[in-house]
Amino acid sequence: MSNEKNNLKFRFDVSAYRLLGRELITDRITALFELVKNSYDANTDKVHVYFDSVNPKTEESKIVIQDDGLGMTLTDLKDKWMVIGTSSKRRNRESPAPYKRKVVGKKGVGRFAVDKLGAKLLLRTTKKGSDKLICLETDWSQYADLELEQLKIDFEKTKEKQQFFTDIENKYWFEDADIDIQGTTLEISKISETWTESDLKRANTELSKLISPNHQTKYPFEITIHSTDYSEFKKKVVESIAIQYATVEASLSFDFETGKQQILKAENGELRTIEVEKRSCGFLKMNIYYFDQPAKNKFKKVFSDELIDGIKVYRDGLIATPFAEYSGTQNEQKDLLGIDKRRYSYFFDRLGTRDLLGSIEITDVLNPGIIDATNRQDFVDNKEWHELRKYVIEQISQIEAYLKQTRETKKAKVDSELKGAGDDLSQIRKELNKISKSAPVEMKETIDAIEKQVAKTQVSVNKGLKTKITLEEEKKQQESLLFSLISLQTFSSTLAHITRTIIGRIKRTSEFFKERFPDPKFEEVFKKGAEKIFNEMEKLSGAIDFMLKYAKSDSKIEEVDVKTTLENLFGNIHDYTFQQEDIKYELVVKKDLILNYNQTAFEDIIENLISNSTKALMDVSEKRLIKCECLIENDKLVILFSDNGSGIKEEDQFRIFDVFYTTTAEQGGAGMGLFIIKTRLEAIQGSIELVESQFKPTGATFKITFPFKR
Amino acid sequence: MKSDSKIIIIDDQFNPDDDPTYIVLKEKYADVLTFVSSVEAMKELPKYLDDKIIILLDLSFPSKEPDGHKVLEKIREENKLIPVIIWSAVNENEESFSDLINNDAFGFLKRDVSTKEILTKLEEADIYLNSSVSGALENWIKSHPQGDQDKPYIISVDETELTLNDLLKEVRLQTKLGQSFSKKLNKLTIDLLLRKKENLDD
Repeated sequence: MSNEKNNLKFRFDVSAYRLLGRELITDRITALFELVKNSYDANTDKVHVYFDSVNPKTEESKIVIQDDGLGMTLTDLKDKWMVIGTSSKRRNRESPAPYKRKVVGKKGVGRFAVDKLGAKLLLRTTKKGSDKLICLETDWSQYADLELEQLKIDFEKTKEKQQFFTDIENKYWFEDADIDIQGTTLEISKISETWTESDLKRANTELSKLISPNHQTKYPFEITIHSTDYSEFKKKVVESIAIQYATVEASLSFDFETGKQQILKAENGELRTIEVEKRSCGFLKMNIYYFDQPAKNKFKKVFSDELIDGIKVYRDGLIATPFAEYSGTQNEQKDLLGIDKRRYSYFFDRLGTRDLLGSIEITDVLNPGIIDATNRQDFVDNKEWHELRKYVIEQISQIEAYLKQTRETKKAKVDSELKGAGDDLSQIRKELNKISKSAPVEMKETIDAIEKQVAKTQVSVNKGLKTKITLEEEKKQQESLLFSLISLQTFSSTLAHITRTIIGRIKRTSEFFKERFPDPKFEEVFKKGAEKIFNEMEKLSGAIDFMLKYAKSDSKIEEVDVKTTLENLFGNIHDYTFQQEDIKYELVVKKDLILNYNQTAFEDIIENLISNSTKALMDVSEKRLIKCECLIENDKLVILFSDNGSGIKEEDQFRIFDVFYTTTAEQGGAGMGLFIIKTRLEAIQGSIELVESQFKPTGATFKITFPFKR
Repeated sequence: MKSDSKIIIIDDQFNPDDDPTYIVLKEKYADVLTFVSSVEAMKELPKYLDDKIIILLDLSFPSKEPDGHKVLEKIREENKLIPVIIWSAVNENEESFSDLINNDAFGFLKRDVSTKEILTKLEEADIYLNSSVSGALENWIKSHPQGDQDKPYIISVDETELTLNDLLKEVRLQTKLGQSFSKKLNKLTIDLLLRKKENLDD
């Protein structure tokens, strides 16, 4: 019976055919797109689109769309394929389990798109578990002829042999099929038009909209275009359009054999992938795409319902913690990875979840430490999860660093070109002058006029360059002021604690005076109390001075007395902390060492180092020590700043100067300190680096270099 | 009138010589003890658990030492009824208070309050102490000679022999037995007083 042929009729009328086939699907690309959408909705993993000899158009030209989706039964064919407007997709907005795709073909008109592509269709479909393949042949030209006839207003004639679309018979028959195979193949011949290479390019772009930017989904959808005509499309896997639009993209993996994990590293204006030791959270795969504003706009145009909404965690191909990830509005989405939590996220060079799209892939086997919290809203807050978050943030900061470097390179180029233009103009003037001298009188006037014009232009160019430089400097100052305000914020919290304690003491002592004075019994208490109030007031004034200095702009260059400053910071400002934490300090500094730098900025740098060391010393139980040694090397002041604290882990060493990189988040570290120091020092051609610890095997030593002359 | 309660201040920033509050407290209360180290305080506290005490507790201590949260938790393992007043300069916006509430902190004083405010809070705590079952029981037990306090005094329903001191411990820890005893004692007292069967000595 396999070749026995029967007939099926489409159950619709001409108006519907026209409306659906012609009006809704206006061109070939959309038609193709609609057909591939059908495959997507049928839980297809892979769909192949073949363009066989489509340029030039011949009898042999063919377009084949072959998928491995669910396929159709004869009943499906009769009740769904041959009927319009009864799209089952209208009722079910999700494709069958376990894929549960959000259906994309909503109109149920995909099949009428076929006639846009070619006049003849051979549909072959089979379901898993069936040993039969159903073949259905449709000749759209018959419908077209009939349509033409119906539209002729020739009632006399048509009344006699009125034939409707529903009367046209479509042959179908069965063929043997492998019981395990499923899928639908649409073979379209008698194609309507030639397909040029640019047509295929357009098709590729259109189809790419169906590909999720996250290829880490458990049931990925893959489209491959095969063309016999064009080498570029000989066998082309369609890539997500999101990826094509991304400004920066990176894909990271690992090597199980060698135990190496890939990470990003921004260096010399390049974003490279380097290998490091496996992190405690286990091996990770990561895809990350960054979109700048123009890229975002393009993305939004194409993906009306997909968002650029950060980096998601996939476990064994399925999105982890779905309840947290799928929130109706982006604002309510949880920022599990803490990307936006990086404070001051939208300042300067920070990237947030709305600039990033990506996935981080974990598996039960490789990342056993990452555990879903029972509410499925979060992960269990353990060391591994922290490490994973750290990894993600680390990659993002590298992209940030890369973007910054790129911007700087571009800026430097523009600067030098501008300067070059200025120099060129000056050269032209010189030449003109020369010519003018030897030129005849009547030309001289013209040349002089030109020379004047050039001179004017030169002035404008130079002015422009100067304005640009001033603006940049202003911007830098604003940034630096803001940064110092941010550290002030952290600092003021500590200061508030101390101040409140001091005020309490003053208040209660004076209260005692108010209530009891005079009383010979308390003569001694009064005397001591008054002294106490005075001393506490002094401390308060000192604290206020310090705060104010902090808030002041740090552009002024003054003479910094290194010894006095250090002694004040160690001996007075931090005395309280040092005593409380039992930290001893050692200062090695010569008298009369004067540095030409900004007082506040210098204090800020030392302040940050003290604060870092204090944190690092928390883990040490005894003999907590900070050493600050000043040396003079040629025309440079070198400060070696050491502590015998917990030290800096090998894996952390190369990124400690990155902004927001912190290992002390629990102790209130914001990852700002070393970044600020580095920025400030680089601004004055100084430097900071991590050198071998003076207290090895533990501890850390930083080498800070200040140029004496600027 | 001087209260017979003792005040214990656990605070790394409190120096009796620096703060005249100490003098004022000394005048009003039986004794004022100060600890600058929370470790030291936790070691010494058991000695005073039998006394009528009110604790003023700071929250932040040097990182090597347990903080106020931890200290309160430890106190509550030994005694559920001692009034513990938190006295701290912490930033209220950032501090977590839920564990303090759950561990029945008696009140909260900011670091920069006046001595008067401290006295008011302490007075509340003192009244609470004297009106609580444990306080009353303590007073009553103390009126017995030392030897009697450790003799079996009462036999509970499950036939465990309890001395007066055992009983006091049960009440302080608010165990089932302690709770039920307090409840019965309250009921009985009210009943006796209202039916004028008994007269109190004051």
